[in-house]
Amino acid sequence: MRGLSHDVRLLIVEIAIPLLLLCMADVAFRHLLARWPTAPLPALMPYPVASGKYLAYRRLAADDAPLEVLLMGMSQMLRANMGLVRQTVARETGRSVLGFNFAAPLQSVEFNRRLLEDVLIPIKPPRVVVHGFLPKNLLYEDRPDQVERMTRSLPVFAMHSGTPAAHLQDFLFGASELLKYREVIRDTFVPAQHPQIAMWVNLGRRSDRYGDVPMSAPARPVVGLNSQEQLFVEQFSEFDDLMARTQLFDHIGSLARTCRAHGIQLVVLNNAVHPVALQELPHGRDDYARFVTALHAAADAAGVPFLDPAPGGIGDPDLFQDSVHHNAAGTRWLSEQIAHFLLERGLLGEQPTIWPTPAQGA
Amino acid sequence: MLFNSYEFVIFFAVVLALYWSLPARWRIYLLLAASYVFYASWDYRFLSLILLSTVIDFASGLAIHSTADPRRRRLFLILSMSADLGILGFFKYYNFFVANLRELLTHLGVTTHLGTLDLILPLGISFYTFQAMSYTIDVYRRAAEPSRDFVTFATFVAFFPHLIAGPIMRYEHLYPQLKNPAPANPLWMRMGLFLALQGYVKKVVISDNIAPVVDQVFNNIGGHNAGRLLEAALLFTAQIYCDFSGYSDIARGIAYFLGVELVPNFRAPLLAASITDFWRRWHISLSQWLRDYLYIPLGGNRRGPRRTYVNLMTTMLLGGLWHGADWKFVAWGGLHGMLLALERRFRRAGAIGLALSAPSNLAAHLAWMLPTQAMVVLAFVFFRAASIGDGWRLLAGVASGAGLSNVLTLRLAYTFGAIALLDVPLFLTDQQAWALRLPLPARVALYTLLLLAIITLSGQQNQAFIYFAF
Repeated sequence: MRGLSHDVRLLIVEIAIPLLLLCMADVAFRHLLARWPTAPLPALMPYPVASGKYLAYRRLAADDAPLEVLLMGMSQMLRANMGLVRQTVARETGRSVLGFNFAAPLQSVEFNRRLLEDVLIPIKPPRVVVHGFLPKNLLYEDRPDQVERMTRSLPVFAMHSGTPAAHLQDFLFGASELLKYREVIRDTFVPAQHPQIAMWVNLGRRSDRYGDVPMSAPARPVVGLNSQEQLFVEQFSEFDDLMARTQLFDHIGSLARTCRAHGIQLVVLNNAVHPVALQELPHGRDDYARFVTALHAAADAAGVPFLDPAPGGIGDPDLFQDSVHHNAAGTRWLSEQIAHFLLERGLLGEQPTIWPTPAQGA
Repeated sequence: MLFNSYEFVIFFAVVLALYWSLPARWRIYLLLAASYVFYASWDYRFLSLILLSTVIDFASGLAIHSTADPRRRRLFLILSMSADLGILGFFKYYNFFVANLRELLTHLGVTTHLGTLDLILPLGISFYTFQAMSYTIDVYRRAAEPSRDFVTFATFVAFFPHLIAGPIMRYEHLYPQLKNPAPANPLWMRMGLFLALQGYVKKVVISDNIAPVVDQVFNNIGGHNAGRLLEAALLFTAQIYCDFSGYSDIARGIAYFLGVELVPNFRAPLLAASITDFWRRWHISLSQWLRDYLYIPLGGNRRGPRRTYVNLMTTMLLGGLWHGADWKFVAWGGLHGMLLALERRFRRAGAIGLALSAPSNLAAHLAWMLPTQAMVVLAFVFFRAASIGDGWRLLAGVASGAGLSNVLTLRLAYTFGAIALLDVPLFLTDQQAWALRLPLPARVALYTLLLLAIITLSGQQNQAFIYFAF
C-alpha cells in the first residue's frame, strides 16, 4: 500500500474488508448448516420439494452419464420411483440408466414446461420426459402469464440462460450459501408470503440423487374420500366448464413442442386413480372417461406416445393410500409400468425413437 | 438493464475498467457508446427518439446563439420546445388527452371517432426531455454558452447513470465535467461506494420487500380493514421514497466512480417538517427545475399573494402531470400545491406560520414533522391508487377505524427503522456521504452490514424502479 494516497488506501480497505468479512460470514453460515440437520431448504422453487430436487439435479449434472429419463408431474408422480425404474431396466436389460424424478406438488404443466426449458435442459438435458396427468391437473393448471410472473420471481430461472450475467449469477449461487438461502433468511425477518410447510421441507431435504423422496405410505384400505379430498367435490362441481375453459390440453401441445425442439421424447402418462376418485367428479366415471379421452387426444395431436398403465385409468384399489396417491406396492407397480413402456417402445438408449410430428402424419 | 441486475454489474465493471484504461480524450466516446448501449438494452427503437431530441436541442442551441435578433431567438426556442414537448406529449399524453376529450365530447352529446393508440412510453423520456429543454432555455436566457461538441452534448443528454430516472442535471453542472474529464478521484469513489451501497439497500432491501404488501392492499382496497389500509399507505410512502432515492443514490454513486458528480436528489424528505421543507428535500432536481423554468417565469412570488398561490398551484399541478398521464397525479400535485399555498398563507400570518414553514429547533421540527408527514402520506395515497376514486375509498376505509389498533406491525417498524438509520445521520449532518465521517472500524462495519443486507434480505429479483414508469 506504500505510495498510494490516503484516499486510495481507504478505498481499498472500505471495499476489501467488508468483502472479506462477508466471505467469513458465508463460511460460518455454511458450517452452521452442516451441523443443523433440520435446517430449512433454500426457497428456490414455489414448493420446498422442488427446491430440494433442484439442488439434487444440479449435483446430477456432474454425472458423466447422459440423463435418459425425467419424470414430471404433480404429487401423484412423486410415487413413481426413479430408483425402481432403474432397477427394473437393469434387471431386464442389464443396462444402467440415469434418470431423475422432478415431480413436485401442484406444479402445472406450463410451469413444468418453463422449468424444463429454462432450467433443467441447460443443466442436463434428458432424453425422455414422462409427464403424469390426472383430472386434478385441471384445477391447478396455470396460465402462461401467471407462470411468467412466477418464474420472474424465482432467481434460478434466470440463472441458466447462458448469458454472462447468468453465468455470474450461477457462479455466485454455487459459491455462496448466504445467497442460496437468501429467501429463507429474509423470511425470518419479513413475514413470508408462502411459509414453508415442514412436511414438504423434510421431503425436499431428503431428495436423493435420482430425485426420489421417501414417501410414507400407511397400509390401510381406502374406503372413501378423506376430508381433504371432499373439498375437490366442490371444486369439480363445474366439471363441464372446467373442461371447456382449461388450457391444460393446449399446454400439453406446448410441452411436446418444447421437447421436440430440444430433441427430447415426451410421453404422456395417464396416472391411474383409485375408484373412489370418481366420487370427486359430478358424473363420476363419465367425466373421468371424458378427461382421459381428451388427454389421449391431446397426446395424439401432439404426436407423442400415450401411456395408460391401468385399463381406462382406474387402478387396483390395493395399490393406493388415498384417491390418487399410490402406496408402496403402487409405487413399485407404477415404476415398473414406466420402465416396461420405455423399454417396449425403444425409448431408452443412445438413439431413442423420436415420434413423428403431427404434420408428418403421426 | 436494471441497476439491480447481474447484467448491470457486468456492464458497469466493463465500462469502468475501459473508462480508466482509455486516454482522457477517448473517454467521452466510451461514455456515449455505453449510454446508448444501456438505453438500447431496454428497447433499441427508442434510441432514435433520444437522438432526435439531442439533435434538435443541439441545433437549437447553436441557432439561438447565432442571432441577436430577439424574435428569431424566440422562434428557435419555441421550435425547439415544441419539438421536445411534442415528442413527450405524443408518447406520454396523447392517449390521456384523446380519452378525456372523447369523454368531454360525449358529455356534450358529440360523437367522435377519435381513437387511442397502442403506445409504449419510452423509458426516461420525461427526464431527458426536461434536461435537454433546460439547456435550450439557458442558452436563450444567455445563462449558458451553447455546446459546439455534439458527442459531449449527446453524452450530456444520455449519460447512463441518470438517464432513466434522474437526477435531472443542468447543463452548466454536467457538461463541463464531461467536456473536461477529471482524473480519477479516490475520495469521490469512496463517496460513490457508500452512496451505491446505500442506494441498493434502499431499493432491493427496503422497497422491493414492501412492494408485494403494498400491491396486495392497493389492488384490493375493499378487502382490507383500516389497520391494513393505513399500513399500506405508510408503507407506500416508504416504498416510493426508497425506490426513487435508492435509484438516485446508485446513479450518483456510479457516476462518482466515473469521475462525474451528479446533484443530490433527496435530503431525508421523510424528516421534513413542512411541505415547503419536503419539496426542498424530495426530488430536488425536479422541484428546482419547476421553480426555475416554470414557477419563476410565471411570476413566482413577485406579483402579490394571490398570483403566488395561483403560480404555486399551476406549478404543482403540472409537476403532478409530469409524473404521468392520469388525473390521480394531477390530484397529488394539486394537493401539494394547495398545502404549499396554505403554508405560505399562514407564514404570512405570523410566528406560528414561521414555525410551520421553517422550524427553528429540533423540538419544533419534530412537532411539525408528524402532521407534515401525515399530509405527505395522504397525498401519496392518490399517487399510488389505481384512480382518484380508489384513493378516496382507501381514505374512507382508514377513517372507518376498524382494526386500526393493529397498524403498528413489525414490518412498519423494520421499514421505518431502516430508513431512520440511513436518513437521521443525513438529516443531522446534511452530508450525503455522511458515512465517510465515521471512524474507519464503524464505517467498515456499516458497509459489511449493508452488503450483508443486500445479499440476504433483498426482495424479489429484478424489480423495476417505480419512476421508470414516468
